[in-house]
Parts: sequence; structure tokens; C-alpha cells
Amino acid sequence: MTDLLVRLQPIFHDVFDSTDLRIVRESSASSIEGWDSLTHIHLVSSVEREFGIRFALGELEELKNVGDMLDLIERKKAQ
Amino acid sequence: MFAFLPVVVAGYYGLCRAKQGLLAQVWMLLASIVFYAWGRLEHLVWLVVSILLNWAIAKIIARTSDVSTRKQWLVLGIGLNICLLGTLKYAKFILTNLSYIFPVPVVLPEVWLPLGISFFTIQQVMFLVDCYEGLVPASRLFDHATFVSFFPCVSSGPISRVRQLLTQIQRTQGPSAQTITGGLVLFAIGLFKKVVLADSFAQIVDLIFNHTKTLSGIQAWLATFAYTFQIYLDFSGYSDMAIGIGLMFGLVVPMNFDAPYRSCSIIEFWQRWHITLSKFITVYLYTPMIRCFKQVSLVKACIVTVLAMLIAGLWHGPSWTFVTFGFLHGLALSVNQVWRKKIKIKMPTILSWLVTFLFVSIAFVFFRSPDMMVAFETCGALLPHGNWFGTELDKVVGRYEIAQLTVLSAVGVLASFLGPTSSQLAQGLTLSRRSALAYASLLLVSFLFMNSTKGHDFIYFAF
Amino acid sequence: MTYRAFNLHVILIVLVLGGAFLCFNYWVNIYGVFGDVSGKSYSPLGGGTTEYVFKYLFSYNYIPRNFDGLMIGSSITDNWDTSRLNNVKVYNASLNGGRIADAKQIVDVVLKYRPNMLIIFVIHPIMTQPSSFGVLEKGIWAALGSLELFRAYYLKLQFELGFAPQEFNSFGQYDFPEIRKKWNETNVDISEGTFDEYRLLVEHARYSGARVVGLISPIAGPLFKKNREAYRRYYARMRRLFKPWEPIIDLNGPEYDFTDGTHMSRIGARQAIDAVDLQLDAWMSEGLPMSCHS
Repeated sequence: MTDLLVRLQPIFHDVFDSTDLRIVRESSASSIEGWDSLTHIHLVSSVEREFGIRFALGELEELKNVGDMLDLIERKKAQ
Repeated sequence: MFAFLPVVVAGYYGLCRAKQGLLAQVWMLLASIVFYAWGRLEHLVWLVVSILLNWAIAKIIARTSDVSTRKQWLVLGIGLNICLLGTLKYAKFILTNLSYIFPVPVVLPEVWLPLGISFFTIQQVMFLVDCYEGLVPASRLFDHATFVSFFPCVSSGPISRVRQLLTQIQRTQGPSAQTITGGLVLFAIGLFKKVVLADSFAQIVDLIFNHTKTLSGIQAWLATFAYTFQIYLDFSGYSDMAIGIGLMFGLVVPMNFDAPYRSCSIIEFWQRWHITLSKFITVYLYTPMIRCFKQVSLVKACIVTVLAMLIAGLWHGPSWTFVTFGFLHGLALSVNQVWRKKIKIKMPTILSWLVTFLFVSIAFVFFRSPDMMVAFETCGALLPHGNWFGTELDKVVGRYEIAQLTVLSAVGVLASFLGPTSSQLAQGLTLSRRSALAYASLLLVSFLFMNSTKGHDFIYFAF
Repeated sequence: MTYRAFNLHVILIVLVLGGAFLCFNYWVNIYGVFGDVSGKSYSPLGGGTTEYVFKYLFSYNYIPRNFDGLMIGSSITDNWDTSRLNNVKVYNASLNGGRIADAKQIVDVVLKYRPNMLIIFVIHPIMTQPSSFGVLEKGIWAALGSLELFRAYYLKLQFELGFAPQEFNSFGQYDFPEIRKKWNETNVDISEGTFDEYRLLVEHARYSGARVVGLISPIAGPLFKKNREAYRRYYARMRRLFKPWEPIIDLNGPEYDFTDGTHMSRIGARQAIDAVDLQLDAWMSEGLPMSCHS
């Protein structure tokens, strides 16, 4: 799991354009400045590319915090 | 109608306590049907058509394993939903506009717009997409009918997804004393917002919007702001009531408003205004469009934003005023994005709030105006044009009315800007005699206003 | 306090307080809509829209139980004291600023409870102007609790404490301050929509079994002379709404030359209603169509 978090970190740096950003499981759209719908879609597509998975539209709303995102990536990769 | 809600809730409560889950759901479905057919019986036909259609298509999608066939069924299903909405709501608009280009006379039978069709069509589309993506199984007809017709939400939302609501309906143990308390509180607040506050603003707005040809500057601004508060209090009041009724059934319906007028940017505004719709727009309109591109760039994102908001604007009603409303918001959202990503200058909070609020208010002029002519007249009057104070309208309204409207408007304005929101009030409730008295009084005052002249339909019922 | 107790508290408070409020309003019965009010007298309070509310709610119970006739009109006839009519007890349901659409609401209700009323239709260009104030949407329910009711209580309190005079009598006469020497020009053209409303209302009254009377109220001399031809056309058209056997009392002939202003002075109003009384008397004693329209 921490392994996934490590792989997510650079994606967040890239998407949010800030190298100081440190994400933890609890980080969410409300705690990270600039996490709006545009950045969200950007983030989601970067994650999809990195892990070779595809999220369903109906899942996107649940990805607004890092913990849930990690869990879902885990599940998707297991499939 | 006064007896309807208590009877339905009490019946549901009784059935749930008697551990008759199935009967309770039957009871809920019956209540929804009665509610829906109350206004016009014919409307029920369209609701039933929509339910049957989507239920069947979802079934087929779930049974098919071939990806491209599934996709074809999905496209067909969405197409049929759009056709249904299109013919019932937009046929006249489309044909009238076509007839400007091809001069043929347009004769259409008068079709009554079925209550809430715009709202439940969205729910159906989301249901099909979720089915297609394997997030939810195809529902049983009984379940699907209960979900789509759920009466607190069927007419004007909040728009909910099968995953959120249906699972709750199936698993519910029935309402608890606690959820009923939350429901009562939210219902009381919502009703008060709607019939006491919003309708007071409505009186100001209606009066002024009927005289847009001779507006003075001050009247134009007054009407613009009054409508801004009217639509918020009306629609968020209605949403509070729907959520409240949901809680009386022990169901959590998604939140729809979160003090939007305290937003400091348009992006934030749409995160707090009509939340369930804007989630639909971002997830089910904006995302698929943007996914069509290999690489996301800011320019593409802006174009897609405007497109998605144009569609959202048109969804509100078959008129160019709504399209303009959507277009303006799409444009503003794009500007907001560019500002965030490229310009990156931080405005003082008060300034960014002011710009946001002014923009939102002016965009609502288009939302309120019956046609583009009136919208332009009103917007024109907002600009300095020599006539700032000239007013004849005050003669129409008596002193007594002015006093009443002033007090109630002040309450409405303050409640929009300051203090806890309705859901905060419901969550932070202290159980005491005093708060019981307070909420009972809200209900009683609302009943009093409802029984007085000047009733307005919920603004969103027409959409 | 538990959630359950809180819920019960809210429900009980709503029921008890709401119920007590309803009972109080029923008991005060300021609009005379509840119970047998024969022989009692009720007067509207306050001018403006409250007059509309009072007269409209009176039409459910007070008027049908106590009166044999109804006069509908605008401010022009609002200060006519119909208690001076000798042979028939007529309620003056004129409304300040009223149009035919406003009168219709009263006539419709009264006829429902007492179809054989005598109804005096005042014929004056103001009645066929478009736009009406609109009256109560909630009908008789408003008498059980509404903002209108609160306003009525407020006016009642003012009156009882001696802060405001009672300007209405129990026959609906609005005795507004002596003579308004105003010369408001009225648009004499008929708007088609309101003309139709007027026509339908007359027909409705007739088919309900009401006795229909037309009353051409006087136009002040200077106004009339200025626009004589338009008025002549107006009256000619309006007269056609009435059947030959339905009398039209015309107070606009040369023998009644009022110069009070748009509205009549107290003396003028008294003379006018006495003139109506004479003609009604004649009609009723003969039981024949009157021959006074010249």
C-alpha cells in the first residue's frame, strides 16, 4: 500500500504543480488547494496511465481523497 | 396535500416497525405514484414509460457480455432518454428556431411537460452508465420504480444515484427517532425558506420584472439581487425539504446546497450550488468529453467546460435565456481556470467574493427573464443610464407590504451570508424544549404564510 | 431530552398552538364567515386591499344571510350608502380601484349561497379597464389564519383603541374623506378581454336566477363634456349586455349634472343613491321593465 502511495506522490507533484506537496492517506480535495474538477480529471487520467487501469465514471466522485483512491487502485489492479 | 406527508410517513414508520420491509417499500411506491399523479394524471404515463424503458435497457446491458453490443445498448438508451426529454420539452423550441431558417409554419400539439422530467431523466442516464460500467446491477422493476419515482426528489431533485439511494431503500430498518428529528428540522427550515423568505423576494422580483421597459438603475439592481436571493432560498429550501422528508423515511439524500453565496470563485460556487447537478455535469458530461482527447490541455478543458455548461443551461429550459446563462457560467469557469493555472494572482478575499457574487447575480438575470429582450433591457438598466432613482412602482405597493418585505428580505440576506447552514443546524441541534418550540414555530409561521395570498410554485418545478 | 421526546414536542406544539390559534380565530370571527350571523353586523376595516379581503370573505356568509341585493362597482360608488334604499336590502360591494375581475370573485361566491339576489352592476369605464388587484387565493381558509387576518386584527385593535376611525358601515359603504376634487381622466375605450369578463358575469348572474340591474353612475359634467362621443359609444355598447326587461338606471342624463369631481361628495352620493331608490321602487312596484333609459 505504501508502495502505491510512493508512486502517487510524483503524480500529485506534477498535477498540482508543487514539489512541496506531501500526500498521506487522509489528504483530500478539501485539504489540498486547487483540487477542483479540472485538476481532478487531470489527476485521474495521470493515475490511469501510471497504473494501467481505467476508472468508471461513477467512481470518480469517490476518488476525492487519497485513501479511497489507493483502495480503488488496489482493487482495480487485483482484477 | 397537508395530510399527505404525515400519513405517508406514519404508515411507513408503522410498517417498518412491524418488520414488513417489502410492504413498506410498496407503501412508499404507492405514495410516490399518488404524489406524482396528483397534479395531472397524464404525466404519470411518461414517468412509467421512462421507468420501463430504462429498466429494460439496463436488464439487456447486464445480460450482454459483448462489450461493443453493451455500448450500443447504452448509446441507444441514452439516446431514447434524450429523445423523450427532447420531444416533450424541447420540440417547440427546436422547431421554432428552425422555422427562422426554413420558413415553415410550426403547429404542435400542446403537450404538458411532465413534472420533474429533466431531473429523473438525469437519474436514468446515470443509472444506465453505472450499469454499463458494472458499478450497479440492473435493478428489479419494483426497485427501479421506487427509486425513480421517490416523491421527495422526483420533481426537483436532489438528483441521486442508484448506488446512493436504492441500496438504502433495500437495506433500511426504517426511520429512527434520530433521523426523524433531523428530517423535521430540515423540513421546517426548508419550508420557511421557501414560503416565507423566497416568496417575499418573489413579490419584489415579479413586480419589477413586469415593468422592464421603464426600469431605473436602482430598480434593476434591486430586482437582480432580489432574484438572486429568491432562487437560492426557493431552491435550497425545496432541497432541504426533500432531504428532510428523505430522513423521515430513514434515507440520506445527497446534499444540494452549501451556502453558495459565500463562495469566492465561480469554481467554488459550482461546488456549493446545486451540487448534485454540477456533479452530474462534471462526471457524466465533462469527463467523457475530455476523455475523448488524448492529452488534456487548458484550452481544451476550457472549450469542454463551455460546452458542458451550454448543455447544462439548455437543460434548465427550452429558451435562449437559459443557454446564455449556461454559456456565461461556462465562460466564467474557464476564466477562473485560466486565472488559477496561469495568472495566479491572489485577489483579496473580499474582492474575489464580490466579483463572484456580482457575476452570479447578473447571470441570473438571464435565468429569470422570460426572453432575451427582457434580459437585455434589465441588464441595460443595470448600467448607468441617467435614470437612477425614477420610480413609479413604490406607489403600487403599500407601506405595510414594504415593511413586511423589508424585514423578511433582511432575514433572507443575512441567512444566505452568515450563520450556520441548514445541514449544520440539523447536525448541531441541541435537544431542548426551546429548540422544539423554535422549529414548531418555524412550521406554524410557514403554514400561516402558505395560507395567505401570494403563493408561488417552486421555481424549479417547471424545469 | 431524547430524540423521541423532541419529535413529540415539535408535533404537539404545532398541534396545540396551531389548534388554539384556529379556535381563537373561529371565535373572533372577524369576517363573519362562521356560524349563523343573521341579524349581526360586520364592517370592513381599513381602505386599500383590506377592503377587498373583507368584502370577499363577507360574501361567503354575512352577505347572503343578511342581504337581498348586491351592488358591484369601483370607488365611484364605494361611498354610496345603500342602507338608504327602502325596498330592498342591498350590500355595497364596490371596491376602491376595483375592476370587473375583482367584482366577479364576490358575485360568484354570493350567488353560490344565494342565487336569487338582486345584483346591481355599476356601468363605468373604470370597471372595464384591465388589471385587477386580485383577491384572496385561499378563499375562506384565510379566515382561519393568514397574514390578511393578522392585518385585520391590527386594524381592529387600532379602531378599538381609538387610533383609527371606522370609515365603513355594515352595508359596505366606504365613507372616505369629504369630496375628493380630483379630475382623473378615465380611459373610456373598452378592452376586449375585460368586456368579455363583464358580459360573462352578467350572463352568469342571470342564469343563476339573480335579478340583474344596470346602473350608469354619473360622470362629472366637465369630464363628460370633454369626451361625450366616447362615453356615448361606451354606454351604448354596455347597454347591450342587458336584456330588455332588465332595468338600466341611468344617472348620467341631463337632469343629473354632478360637478363634484371623479368621486362624489357625501351630498352627491346621497342624492345619487336616493335617485336609484326611486327608480328601483318604481320598477319593483310595477314588476315591469323600467322605461327610464332615455
